[in-house]
Amino acid sequence: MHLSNEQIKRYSRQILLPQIGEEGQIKILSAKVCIIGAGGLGSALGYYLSAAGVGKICIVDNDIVELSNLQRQISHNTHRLGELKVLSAKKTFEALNPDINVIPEKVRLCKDNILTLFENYDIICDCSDNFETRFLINDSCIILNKPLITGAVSQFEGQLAVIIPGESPCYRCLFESPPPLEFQASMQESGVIGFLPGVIGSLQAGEVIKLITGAGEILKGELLIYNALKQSFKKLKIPKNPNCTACGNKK
Amino acid sequence: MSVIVLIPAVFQNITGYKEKIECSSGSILDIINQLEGAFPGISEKLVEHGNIKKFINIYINDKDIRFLSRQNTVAKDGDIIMIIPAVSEG
Repeated sequence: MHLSNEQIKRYSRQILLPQIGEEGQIKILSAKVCIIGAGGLGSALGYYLSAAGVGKICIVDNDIVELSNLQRQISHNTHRLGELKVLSAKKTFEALNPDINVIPEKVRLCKDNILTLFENYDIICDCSDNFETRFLINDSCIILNKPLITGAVSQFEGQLAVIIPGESPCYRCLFESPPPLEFQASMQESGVIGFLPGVIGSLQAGEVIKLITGAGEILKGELLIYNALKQSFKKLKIPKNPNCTACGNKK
Repeated sequence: MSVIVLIPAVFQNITGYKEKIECSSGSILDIINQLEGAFPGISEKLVEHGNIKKFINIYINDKDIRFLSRQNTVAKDGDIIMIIPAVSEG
């Protein structure tokens, strides 16, 4: 694969970086990334992956755009109220960069469809909005040996972790089981500041680009916690749980 | 001297939006009981049948208590306790 003159111009600011270069850009253009959730995190993550030239981006969501989404879900807009989020996101990302292919998947992930879907992608990004899906995504990535970049937000705090099956602890090592539905409901009603998924989604994009190109160090084995009110980042080690029901038998 | 407990945003409605709470040193369960005395309702968010809930992690000085003595781990004067709940919004 060779970069066209237009591609060299479009991606010049990152090709200039010795950690990326033309070789890294070709890897980015060849990468296949799946994003679960076209909400706040998925909007920011998808925007930056599209801008960077990630060749194939699948976006999975079965919701439609609602007015209360627009305070933070920046891949949608007022004219798209009532549209499927995956189609709205596809329009936004391909308008930014026609060089990429965005695959909209209007499904709710479940154990019957998740493995078939994930098989087609190199990297999985969890931008979902519920624990049931988060645990399902984790367990599926362990089965398929796919790297997982997981982000989550609530109120003024965000969390980020990278799971490399066989090398790092997994999401179930971090949190052993999902909370009850009433806890989840109370969390969803507690609000989120609009820029927060922008911060965490952008950090997820950074981990994806580093994984694709081999630049720098991946945040594996640690949980990054961002506190927007204090403008602070904290990294905590995630111990690998030898009895983990998802990855306990992996190295 | 005492220990400092850092309350995550999702539970700060119970603590009157106080983020740092000073408690006397003791086991994690003792400390949660002290918190409950000052801020009723917080214990049921963290503890179930005498154990820390499985979607809540507690760190003492950056060490996960699940790999120490869980809720019986003792925090000493000067220690910092972080409560980290799983969050799910996207």
